[in-house]
Amino acid sequence: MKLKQGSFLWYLYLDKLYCLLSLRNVKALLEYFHLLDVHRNNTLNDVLFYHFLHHVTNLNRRQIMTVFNMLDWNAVGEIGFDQFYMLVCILLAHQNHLEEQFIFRHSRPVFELLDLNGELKIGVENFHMYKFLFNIKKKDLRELYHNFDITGDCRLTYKEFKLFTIFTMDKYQERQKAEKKKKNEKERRLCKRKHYMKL
Amino acid sequence: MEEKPFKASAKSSVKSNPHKDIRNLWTTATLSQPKMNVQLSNVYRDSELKSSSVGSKTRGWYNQKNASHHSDGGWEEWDDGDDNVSFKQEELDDHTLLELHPGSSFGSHLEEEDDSSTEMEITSSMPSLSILKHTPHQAYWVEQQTRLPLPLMELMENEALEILTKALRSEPLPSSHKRPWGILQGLAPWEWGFKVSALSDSTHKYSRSPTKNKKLGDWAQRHQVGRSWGDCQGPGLQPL
Repeated sequence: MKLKQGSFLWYLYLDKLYCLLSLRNVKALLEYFHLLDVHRNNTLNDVLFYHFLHHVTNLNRRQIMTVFNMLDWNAVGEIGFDQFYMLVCILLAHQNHLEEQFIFRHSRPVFELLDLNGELKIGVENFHMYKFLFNIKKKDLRELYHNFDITGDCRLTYKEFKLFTIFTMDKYQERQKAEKKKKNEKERRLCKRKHYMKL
Repeated sequence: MEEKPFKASAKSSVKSNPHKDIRNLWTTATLSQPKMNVQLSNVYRDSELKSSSVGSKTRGWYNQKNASHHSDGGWEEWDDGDDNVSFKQEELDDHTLLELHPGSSFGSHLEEEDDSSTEMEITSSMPSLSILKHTPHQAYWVEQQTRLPLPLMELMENEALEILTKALRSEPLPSSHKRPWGILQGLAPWEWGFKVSALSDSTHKYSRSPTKNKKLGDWAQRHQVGRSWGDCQGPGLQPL
């Protein structure tokens, strides 16, 4: 899933720590929402929602309607600004490769979104359905259920899911540190080489 | 139809400087404001109450260079090894201020204006951060910062217009198993439709562009009357 370059959402960004929009971004997003809300219901119906997502992303129709069904948690056929805001945060997190951090920071809302049937448990099929959004790979899924399905019923409760997010976050941070260390070493070597060449 | 701003901005953003970050722009704008833990509902409420208008010019222009989001490099650049998101003013320099990119779509609107006045505006916006701290007109600068930049408003309006036009011309979506009965306004149970109502002036109250106002106004006038779905037949639900 990619955001269309140059679209309005493309110019928004998430706070890196909390994976949320700043107040100014929210204000701008609210204006945008009001522009799309032609019926003056403070909601977007599925047609508007479809064309909005179709315009700003490269998702196909099936994926868009899947997202709509996920967000329409009251099953009224429309989504309000709260859901719209959540969607934008998810899109931006995906766009900027912050999925792990986003899921860690907002594990409860994400769990509730994935828990389509309200069973307080999520199965593999839930993850599969939304993997284009949360970028959860097959290997990670296997690891997830192997290591964190404590109850052994092939479904994750919220606590198990939370453990998974903590573990993923740790791995993500270690990966970031390792990459940064590598980059610093490379720069240091480059500086040394330049220094020797000058001499 | 006029040039599509998105394509132009996309092209220009390709040439932009990857080191400049549009997030700097947003961050500097909020630095002088006290920290607010505002709930989403409060923002929602406040924005409806406020009737601010983009009457005065914004303090800067969008930097197309800043807007290039290199997904691989963008966040890594931002990562300075500490998770503290509160940016210190000492870290901010001229790069955080906005510049006008000559090839930008936003610039196309501004090319009509006098270049010298543009430069003056840019230079006058340069010390805005220090002004915020020391100026006697702090309230004015705070107010300036709460307004959305004009290029952003135009981008929003253009995009909203495009989306709404496509939605208007589209065919009904295929049926969904989740379709509720008797709840939606103006929609038959098995046939999604799109009821268009007049756009009120409040939708584009922030737009300063007369052509944009006219466009939205024309669009609203053309679609003032709600469509009737005379072909809809079904139990219970009738379009409004």
